[in-house]
Amino acid sequence: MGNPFIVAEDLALKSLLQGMVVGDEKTAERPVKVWFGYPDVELRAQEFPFITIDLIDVVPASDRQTSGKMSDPDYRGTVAPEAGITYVFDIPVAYDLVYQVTTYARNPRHDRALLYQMFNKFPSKFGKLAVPNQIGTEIGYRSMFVDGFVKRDAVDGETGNRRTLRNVYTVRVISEMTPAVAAQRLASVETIVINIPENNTYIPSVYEIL
Amino acid sequence: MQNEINSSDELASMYARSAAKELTLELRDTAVAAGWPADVASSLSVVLEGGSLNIDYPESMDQRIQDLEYGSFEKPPKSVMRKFMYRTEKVTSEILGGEVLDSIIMEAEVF
Repeated sequence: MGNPFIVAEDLALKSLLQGMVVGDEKTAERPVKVWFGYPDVELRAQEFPFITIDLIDVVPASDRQTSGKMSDPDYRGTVAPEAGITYVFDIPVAYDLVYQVTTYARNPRHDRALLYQMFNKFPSKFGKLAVPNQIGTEIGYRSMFVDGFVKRDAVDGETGNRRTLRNVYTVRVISEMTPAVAAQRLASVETIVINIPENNTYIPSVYEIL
Repeated sequence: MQNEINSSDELASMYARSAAKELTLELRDTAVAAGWPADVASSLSVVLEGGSLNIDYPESMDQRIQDLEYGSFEKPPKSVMRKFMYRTEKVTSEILGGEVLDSIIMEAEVF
């Protein structure tokens, strides 16, 4: 079983950011750690450089919300498709997830290396995030948009007279939440809609449709 | 004394100014609810500039506001302005799209 809505995007974003390295005159390859939230010095070491992820907002995306049913012959990749059988479930609820991704560095060279790698991972409005579905059978690619970027460097005082170079990205991930009813149906297959045969002559009256 | 409205642009500006006042109160409430200090929250306002609604605050508050919005080296972000802007876009389009259009139709008797 995979991860549900939001948790799946959180982990997908963390996975996207993993594996970054920076170099300097002392160490050729210094790995960049990724945390959810700022690392508390009492709980874990603050080894620069590092990256933090904060979910700052979940916005209902009414402008792209549709309603109704979706039909899918392989039940979202859980069964082998068969002729004449279609599985039907509710259209998911559209949301935008807004994240703040922050990079921290002490060394300007690390900072520039992080900037370069981050802009490659988040290419303006052309970013995409691979998010596995909850049952782990398929991967959906969510569009990502960099809605903001600010540089928040601190040189004195605040960081105990140590320079800290900080870049803040506001990243919007297009997402959707499967309604609970669909999730229940997914747990155990209960409803199977068999396509109407071609030779069916019954036509429902307008009153039945309404 | 009522101002004379001569164009749909003027009408839109009138509604936008009115919306800015309401949105200012909403923004301050949101900031307080997010845990911003009262003096910082009350320094925020929504203003109409060049045909769009923007958030404004005194320059002296800049450091504190930026630290709250984006987090500092010890505290996580308590985003208020970005949250607000995501939602305001929809509110303003409703105000400007709905009310202005209604006024044009009903008061100016366009049709």
